[in-house]
Amino acid sequence: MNKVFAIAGIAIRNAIRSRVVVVLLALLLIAIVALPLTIKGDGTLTGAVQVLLRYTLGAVTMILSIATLWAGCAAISLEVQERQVHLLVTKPVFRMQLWLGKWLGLLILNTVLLGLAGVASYTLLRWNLRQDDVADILVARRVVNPMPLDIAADARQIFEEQKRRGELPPGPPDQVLEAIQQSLRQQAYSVPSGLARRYVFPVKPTGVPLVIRYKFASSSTGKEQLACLWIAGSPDRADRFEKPEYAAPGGVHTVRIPPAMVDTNETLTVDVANVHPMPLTMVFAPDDGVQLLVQETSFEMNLVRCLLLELVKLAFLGALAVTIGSVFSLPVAAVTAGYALLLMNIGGYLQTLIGQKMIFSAGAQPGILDLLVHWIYVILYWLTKPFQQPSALEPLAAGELVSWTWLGTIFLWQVVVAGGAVAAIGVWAFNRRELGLPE
Amino acid sequence: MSEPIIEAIGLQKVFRDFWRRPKVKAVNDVSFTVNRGEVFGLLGPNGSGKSTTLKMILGLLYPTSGQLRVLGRSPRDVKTKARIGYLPEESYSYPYLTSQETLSFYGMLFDLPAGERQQRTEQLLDMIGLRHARRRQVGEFSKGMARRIGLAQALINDPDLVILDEPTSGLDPIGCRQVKDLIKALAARGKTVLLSSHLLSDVEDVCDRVIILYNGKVQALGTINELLEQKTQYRLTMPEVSAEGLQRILAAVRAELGNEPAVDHPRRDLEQFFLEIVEKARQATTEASGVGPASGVARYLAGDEVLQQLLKTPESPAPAPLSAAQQQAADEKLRKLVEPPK
Ligand SMILES: Nc1ncnc2c1ncn2[C@@H]1O[C@H](COP(=O)(O)OP(=O)(O)OP(=O)(O)O)[C@@H](O)[C@H]1O
Ligand SMILES: [Mg+2]
Repeated sequence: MNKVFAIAGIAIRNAIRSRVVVVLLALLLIAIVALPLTIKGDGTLTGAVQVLLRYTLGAVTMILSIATLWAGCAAISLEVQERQVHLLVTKPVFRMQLWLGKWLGLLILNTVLLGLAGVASYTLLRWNLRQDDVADILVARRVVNPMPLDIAADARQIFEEQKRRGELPPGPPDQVLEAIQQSLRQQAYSVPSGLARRYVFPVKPTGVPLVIRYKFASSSTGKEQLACLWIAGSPDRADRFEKPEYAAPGGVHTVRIPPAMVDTNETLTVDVANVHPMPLTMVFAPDDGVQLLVQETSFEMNLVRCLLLELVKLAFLGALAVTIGSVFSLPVAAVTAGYALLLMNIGGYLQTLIGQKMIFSAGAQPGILDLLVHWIYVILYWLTKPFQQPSALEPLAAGELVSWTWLGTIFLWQVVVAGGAVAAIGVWAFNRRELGLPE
Repeated sequence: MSEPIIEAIGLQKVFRDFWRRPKVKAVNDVSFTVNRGEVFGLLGPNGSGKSTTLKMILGLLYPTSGQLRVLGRSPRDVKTKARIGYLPEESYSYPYLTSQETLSFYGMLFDLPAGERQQRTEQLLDMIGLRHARRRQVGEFSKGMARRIGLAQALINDPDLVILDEPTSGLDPIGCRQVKDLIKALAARGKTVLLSSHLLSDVEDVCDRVIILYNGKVQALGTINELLEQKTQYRLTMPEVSAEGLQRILAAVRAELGNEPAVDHPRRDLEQFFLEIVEKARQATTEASGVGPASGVARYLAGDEVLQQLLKTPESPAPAPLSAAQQQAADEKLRKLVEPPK
């Protein structure tokens, strides 16, 4: 293990003395300081935070990703080219130790640089928002979705009722049932004026602040604000919480709910009543129309987790690059790594390509070539799928929790499984290489 | 004493091109054995396959065919590397490391404990005369200085088998002398040394046995004496004699052989001469910018004190050198003396 650290230490020292680190730090600083000056937010505080976090940290991770790929590719291939590796493999050093040392060096550099960038952008964020009330923005809240409605059971009940009364519309029974379900689903998410709709959230009574986040569309084409009333707490309580709101359709709104409204059976009941004087309907989006946000941890903790998540991705990229660089010479390695990075970032496009089965032939049946290309796309898609993780910067900027579970899953996937596989391939191929040969 | 350290049988290396078509047969059916404690030389002109052979022994190249065992194992065995020291043909160190860091780094690769590592680093820096440059980055070193670092790193693990690819290339005569002394010291401690060179005098000075390669093939193999002694000729060295005395001796030789013998003044070799000049100059100055005063051999390499002492004592003091003019005059006089009577 000492040898691994020795090799990592040399890699780091080289990076520092060859001024690579200085240049990177300068680039990162430019990204952190200059980017927010050039990008205009939407004027709101939330927008400003989005710019400060998503764009600056996004640029930071991009710069580090590219630097990692390049440095990783160069790590071993340059040593082979300059023949410094001759003095390593003629010492009692296993090639696995050499691989690990190079990877560890990259990881340590990335940790330090990402940490510095994180501290810098956090400081800048705090400084920029020093006069604003950020209690509601710099948060880390878990998103809780309401319990799903049992539409199927309700539909079945209505179906039986109509059948009993002989009011069933004509047509095959399963289609009739489907139609009933469809209209129920539509009703479930729309609240006409004068009516109310109930959401029940599973939540433990911990006393932490709770927030309802909602967005809706209006049945009117205008942008006029609608009056609605939010009522929280079990219906049989005398002290239910009530909050009238005047909200514009299309925007994202929040209502604070006292934690005491959570029921003993670990649920929170929330009713929303459309109390608008005009006959307008509020239509909530089915998936994220009404959600409960539960304060989970501090924003700072969330930032740390988000950076750790980015570090995990960098660790995988480093492993990939070191392996590629231990097999190919530098130019070839760089091109290959760039291609791999590209593939990892065009998952959506690959999916579209898979969707259209016929590319070459115009006929009704896909030809051999079409099938072949199709399967290549499918394989590429599945190979790169584990790496097409949404960025953790988005939830961070939106004040949503970056959970340990998510971090753990990505770590397991990218570092342990994929990283391990890439390392094994790298060491195996490197072991077979005759290093005395020139490139 | 005859424990084989390196055994090569029918060694062959064919370099291939990208399409795996054979391109160069760099080593062709080479067989030899190097025993413990031997100084073994690979001799041959440029491109004769010396480096290729060494690289196969080090596991840097894989033989196309033939058998090769190093310290009883395959040359690709990682563990045996702990007992091998290697000086490559050119210096392949990290340009951004200082000489001290370089030696310490390679020491770490042998798992040397920190104290030991530091001690050996210091001694090696003294030995190669770069103590004053220990905080300078290797990248800015001159060729010879870099070679010295290469030599030091090859010895950091006190190896049983030392493989030196052209150990004296790029070194000044003092460095050459030192390397030769070092090789002798190592051999005296029972270490095995394998070196390659095309400088005949190097090989002649230190090697017990040599192999001469040409075009990848063994042309000759044996001890230096076996190879170089010309059994059909004699050389006679005498103290100064009077002109008449010399004439009489030559006349006798002419009468015996029936033809003219060759006569000249023996010369000290240029190496010896150079060493004396530099030694004098060194005593006159104290400041050094290149390679500083080098001390014999690192203590941990020399083994015991007695040997250390032995290495430090200078060769028998030579008489003050003659100037070129004096030398020429002497040669002129001699030529006249030995001229056969007309
Ligand atoms: N990687 C290689 N690919 C192709 N040919 C090679 C390679 N390495 C060496 N050769 C060839 O093998 C032959 C032997 O080379 P080698 O380096 O062993 O010579 P050498 O005896 O060490 O010469 P020198 O005294 O110049 O160092 C040469 O013809 C050389 O061109
Ligand atoms: Mg050579």
